[in-house]
Amino acid sequence: MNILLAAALKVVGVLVFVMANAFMLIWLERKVSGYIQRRYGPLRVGGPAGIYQSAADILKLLAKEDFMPGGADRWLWLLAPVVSMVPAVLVYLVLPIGRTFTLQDLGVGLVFFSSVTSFTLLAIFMAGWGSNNKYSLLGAMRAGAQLFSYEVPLILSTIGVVLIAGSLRLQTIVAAQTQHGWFFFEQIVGFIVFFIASIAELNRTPFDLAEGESEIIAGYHTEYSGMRWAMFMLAEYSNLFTSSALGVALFFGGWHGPWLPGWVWFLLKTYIVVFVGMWIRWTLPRIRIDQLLDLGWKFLLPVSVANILGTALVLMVR
Amino acid sequence: MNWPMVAFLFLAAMVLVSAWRVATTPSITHATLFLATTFAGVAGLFFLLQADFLAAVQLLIYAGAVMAVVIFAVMLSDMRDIEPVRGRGLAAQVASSQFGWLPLAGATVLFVLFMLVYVHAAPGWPKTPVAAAPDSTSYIAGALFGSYALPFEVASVLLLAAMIGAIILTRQEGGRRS
Amino acid sequence: MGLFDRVWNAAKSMAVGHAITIREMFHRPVTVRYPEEKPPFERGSRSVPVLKVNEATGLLNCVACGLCERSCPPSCIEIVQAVDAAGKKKPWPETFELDLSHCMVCNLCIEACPFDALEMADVVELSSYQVQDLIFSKDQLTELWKTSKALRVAGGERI
Repeated sequence: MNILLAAALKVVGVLVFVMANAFMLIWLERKVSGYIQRRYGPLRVGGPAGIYQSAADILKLLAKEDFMPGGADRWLWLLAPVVSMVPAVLVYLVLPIGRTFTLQDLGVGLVFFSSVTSFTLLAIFMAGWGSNNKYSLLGAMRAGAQLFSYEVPLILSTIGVVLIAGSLRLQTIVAAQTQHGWFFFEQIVGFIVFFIASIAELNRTPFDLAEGESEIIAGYHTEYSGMRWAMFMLAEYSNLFTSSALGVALFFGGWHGPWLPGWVWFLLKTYIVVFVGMWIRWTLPRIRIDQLLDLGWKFLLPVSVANILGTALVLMVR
Repeated sequence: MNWPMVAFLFLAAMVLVSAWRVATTPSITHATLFLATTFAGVAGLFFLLQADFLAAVQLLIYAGAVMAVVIFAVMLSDMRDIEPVRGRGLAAQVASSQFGWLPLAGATVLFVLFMLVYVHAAPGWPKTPVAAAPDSTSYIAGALFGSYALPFEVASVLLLAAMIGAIILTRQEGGRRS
Repeated sequence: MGLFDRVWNAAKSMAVGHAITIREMFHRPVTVRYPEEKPPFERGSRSVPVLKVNEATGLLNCVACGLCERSCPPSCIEIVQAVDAAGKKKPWPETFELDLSHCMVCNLCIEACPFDALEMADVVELSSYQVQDLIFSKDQLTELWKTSKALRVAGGERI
């Protein structure tokens, strides 16, 4: 029974963190967007700097009607938000949160991370198809093209790090950086490709074609409301956190840092990367689909392959 | 009954049921998603066998990339071609077809059965579980780039040829649709 | 333009853009948090015509000539001239009613007035749940003028 209890504790812990994280990030996103546009952001609902706005949002979403469009593909429509939560929760398994703290330090942590996140596409496809709405389907198609094109450079850009660290285990990669120095400095090309590709994987501006409001309403979650829509948002903000956390683990030394305990450094660095993501979101305009695919296939892919070759050559000569 | 056994039964049931539904569901979209479930279940079985690299790659390549391609094929197809076949269960389809598929299907079933029996009876196959490798990634890498380097390279050349062939076959002649 | 030029241009323009947004982020927001802090009235802004009082005599400037009543496009002003016991007309209004639910704040009454008896108040918080509450009497309009004047003395001069 012990193994079950431990597993249950981990699952509950991750779910609580996912909720708290989304709570914070939604508020942070509003504040960052507000101050960049020289507004205040939420203030009225209460709490320090209007932080109860997120709670009010959650209450509102809980109270909303769960409306299913006519002619929807019932099971696909009902299950899509649940499926979108699965990869969002599973990836916490391998994050190297502290020096000795990982929920399950798999030997193939990095590949596990990439493989689990590729499930997001299925959820988007289920939502887009199941909604019986042309805008949803268009959004799902765009998301499919986008996730598919950027998954390849995303994975290839991490291989440089794997070559230097000599392992796919995330704890080993972080530990290698404590002696070797952060991989950001040697793998800056890899980091840039990784960062661009991970923003594209997250469907965030400037790559938010899948839900471009001015073109296709809200893309694949046009027909969702209430808690089902909230689950999509929850998964999106959780993915924002986890992909930033992966970037920190691979390029910024994870929990490595002086004075403070490891997990504090890890969270601090992750939220800084999250902030940079928000900064980019509120600066750049949305790009066109052909520019998106050109960037993915004609620029990021060759650059990441060249990065792997260069890293391998340097390692061989050294 | 121990927990790995429970997990195995659950995953096996998931694989079997969803594989059955892939063949019998009338809608190609549902078939696609059931196929994804099958792949995910197989990945779970690999995890259960502590073949974690294989499991992660199964998820990445089959449940991720191959499913993306299949989804693209579904979405880019003409909608009229992929209308679900309403009111035609498997029995009705079997009854209405001309039985032209029977020899091929029978041969396939016989072949698979024969292989299963052979695998079970042939010498040299370990029938008792062996201890799992602590880090299967390096073993797989050693095997792929060491003793099996030539077959690996041949397979990659074959895939490259297939890719070039696909590009040539789907290329529009003279930039115009024929 | 070569590939490297294009990449360089993209990087440069993105750097410029991000520098602008992060700089804006640390500027003071331009938002005014309305009920707590109120922006000053712009010169020439209009909200509601009110009745002015002569500071020396304490009487209204209005002589009930009815020019504003006639110039009002939506006819929202209604004046009844005062009469004494003998039935002789007096130069002040008995009643002066302004229906703000009809008033379109066109400023024509003020332009028509030869005695400088009307002006636009600097008061905007006049909303009500009852449409009857939007019909302002002579006394209410005088009160509004006083409120507006007090606010204006605190907040600065106005034409």
